[in-house]
Parts: sequence; structure tokens; C-alpha cells
Amino acid sequence: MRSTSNEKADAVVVGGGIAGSLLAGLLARDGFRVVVLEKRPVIGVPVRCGEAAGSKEEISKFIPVDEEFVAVELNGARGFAPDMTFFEKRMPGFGVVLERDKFDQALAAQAVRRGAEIRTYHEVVALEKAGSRVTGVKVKDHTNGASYTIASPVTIGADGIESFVGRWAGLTRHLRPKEIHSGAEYLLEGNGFPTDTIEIYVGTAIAPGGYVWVFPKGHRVANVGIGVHPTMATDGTARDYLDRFIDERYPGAARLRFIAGGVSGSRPLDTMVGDGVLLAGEAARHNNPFSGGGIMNSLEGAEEAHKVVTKALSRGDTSAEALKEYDAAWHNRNGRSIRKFALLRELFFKLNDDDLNGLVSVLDKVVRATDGRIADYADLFRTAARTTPGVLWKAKRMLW
Amino acid sequence: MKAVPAACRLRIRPEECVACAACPSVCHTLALRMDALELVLDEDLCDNCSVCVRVCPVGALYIERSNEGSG
Repeated sequence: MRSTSNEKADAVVVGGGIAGSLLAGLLARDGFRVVVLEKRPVIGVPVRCGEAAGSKEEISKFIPVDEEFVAVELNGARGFAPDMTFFEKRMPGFGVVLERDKFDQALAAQAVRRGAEIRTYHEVVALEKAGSRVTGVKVKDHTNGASYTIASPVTIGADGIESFVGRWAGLTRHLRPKEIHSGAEYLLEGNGFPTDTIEIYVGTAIAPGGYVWVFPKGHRVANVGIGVHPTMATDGTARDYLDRFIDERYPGAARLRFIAGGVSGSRPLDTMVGDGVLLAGEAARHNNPFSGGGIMNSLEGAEEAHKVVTKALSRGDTSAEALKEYDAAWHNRNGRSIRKFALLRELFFKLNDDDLNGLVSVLDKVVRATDGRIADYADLFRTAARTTPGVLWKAKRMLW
Repeated sequence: MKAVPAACRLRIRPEECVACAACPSVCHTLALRMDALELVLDEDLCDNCSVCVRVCPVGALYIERSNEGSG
């Protein structure tokens, strides 16, 4: 039982999720004293995620792949139009579906092996400041109700979409309704799920301003979830839309688990750093605003943050000035493409069912014509636009 | 004379709320926050803007209609 009320660390990481654990471990490995504060009693629990991520090879750059946290290896994707026609692209090994709780725990264990200290059920309740500089955190230990502080040259906010570190530091503001998707997901058991392919369904009645996803998790089991635009969804809650979809498409399925959440559709922040403070992961709006995917981006963002923080700590300068190269580094790595995806998201809101049916039909032709020889889905859309001038014209009209 | 801010009429249905943290993300006054396990509302900060009600994926939030004048 901790009796000291004021502690010191080289870095405090608020949040023991993907970005928090990876960043903490990398800093600890460099020899810094790092404390991770996770407000929940157990790392990674409950899971609040669709759980689809990049390939095993991409993941192995951050942590050795353990089959324990891989539910399914993915070999393709199908996109369904409102009229239920679809296009399909085979992409062997392009991604995996994770067991997020086990994955988060594996990242946390790696961080601890590298020398970080992780405290679960410890909640950061305020930032300590000297003027505008963040000097540490105030913590509530939920195991015994005690409060204490940790002073630190740098406080890292890796506390997710609702990031209070970001808001208290004045780096993030609240998300507007058009910048967030309301999300809901069931783990379903039953017939008719794909085994190694992800499925995406779009349609203004199915998922207004968003999509339904079906991510296989194993034999007869899949994550079936939805994201909807909060003000475009006028026919009930996200869960209502999802229930209707499931009752129609998988009528016999058993609902084993339910989760809900918000998915940020925000463009990147103007800056992710302040004096003595830096954001990482969803707290820094690293996730893809179009697909909602955040796992790979959070890992990459944490990696970029590590480079900057370790240098700043070594030089004894954790001012915003010293940390600012993180903004440029992120912009170069992913920020530029995130801006494009935010634009694509705006465009997507304007598509009606006829547009969506047409788009899927074009994508189908393109995939067949090129025999799948397309690098990624950005390339797919470019090829579709070249192949069918009508798509380009529609995009142009919509942007006006 | 200083205007008295309207009383908060936001209510949480505890049996529906799954503590998903969508609502604190959109709350412009920081009235809503997650503590370790559940959603907490600071009624003094809430201004009944009801954006959270729209965003909640499960309909766990609502604005209580005022009943002024009724018995």
C-alpha cells in the first residue's frame, strides 16, 4: 500500500491502452522511470472495439505476434451496396481480427518487461500545473480511496476518445455531432458469417452516414457492429439500427456480448503538445476518421511520440517548443492521409442509395478488370474514377 | 440582477448506460465524465444542450420535461 503522497517520475502515461502501453515501454527501455495510470481495474477490459487490425507483419513491428491475441487472419473484404449487390477483393493476409483484451494485456506485459510500472484502478483526476505548464497529475487510488500526486517533466495523455488530459490541457475540445459516429456492436454466434473475410454494408436505411461491419472472430462467431452519424440517424439509436440489421440478415443469431462507443471522425489536431504535456492514440485523434480504424494508427503514433519524448527528456527540455516536432512527424507519417480521409468522410455523408449502388457496381467492375492487381483501397478508388468518368463527375458535383 | 442558470434536466437511465464514453466526448461543458467504472454527471455544469442525448448509442440519456405548475 502506497503511503507517499507526492511522487516523482520521468514520464506519466495516462491510460493503459494501445498507445499508452507501447509508449511507456519504449520510454522505459531507454532508461526512464515511467508510470502508467489506468483507471479501469483490468487492462483491456471491457473491449470497446471492432477488433480488426493490420497484417501480422505490420503488428510484429510493435510486438511479437502471439496467436493468443489473434482471433482470425483475414484474406479478403466484401463491400455490400444498399441493394445487396457486392464487390469482393481477395487480399491474402491483409489483416487480422484481434482479441483486443489479450492484445492490450500483451502490450502492457511487454511494457512492464521493458521496465514501465503499470497501476490499474488508479485514475488521474486532475492535472497539476504551474501557470500553463503541466507539472504532473493528481491520482485517485480506487483500491483504497487515497489520493496522491506524481510530478513529472512530461505527462502523456493516452486516455482515449474522451481524453480529459487533452481537454484539461486545452489541446482538444469536445467533438461536434458531425465529428463522431455513434457505435454499437454485438458478438454474435450463428450461421452465415464469413470465416476469413470482412464484410461492410452501407445504405441510408441500414447505417445512415456510416456502415455495418461483420468481422469474423472464429467458428460461427463474428463481431457485427455499426457506426451511424448521430443527426442523420433519425430512426432510433445506433443499437436500434443494428438490431434491425441483425434481425433481417442473421435472424437466428445469438447475441453473446454488447458494447457501444463513440468513434472519432475528427481531422488531426492543430497541435498535440503543450508545455510538459503530449497526446497519443485516440486522445490525439490518431484514428482514421473514414473507417474508424485506430489500432495501427495508435501504434504508429505512439512510436512517433517515443522518438520525440525520449529526446526531450534526455535534453531536459519538455516545453511545447521542444515537443513540437511530434506534430510534423505525425503529419508526415499519417496526418496527411488522415486529412484526406476526413474529406472522404464528408463526401460519404452526401451519397444516397443510388450513388452507393453505382459505386459498388463500379468497384466490382474495377476489381474484376484488374484481376485484383491493386495496391490498396485508395488505389482502388483512383482506378474506379479513371475507369468510369461518371464516378469522377459525381464526386466533383458533391464537393460543390 | 444576475440570471439564475436553468436547472439541469439531463437524466441518465442507469440500466441502459454501458459507460461507453461517447457522451463525455461531445459534452462542451465537461459536465459528463467517466470515472473508473461509470458515467458521472455534474449537474452544475450541464446546460441542457442535449447533444449527448443525440449521440448516445443506446438511448440512455434524456432531458426530463419540466412539470412547472402541475401538482
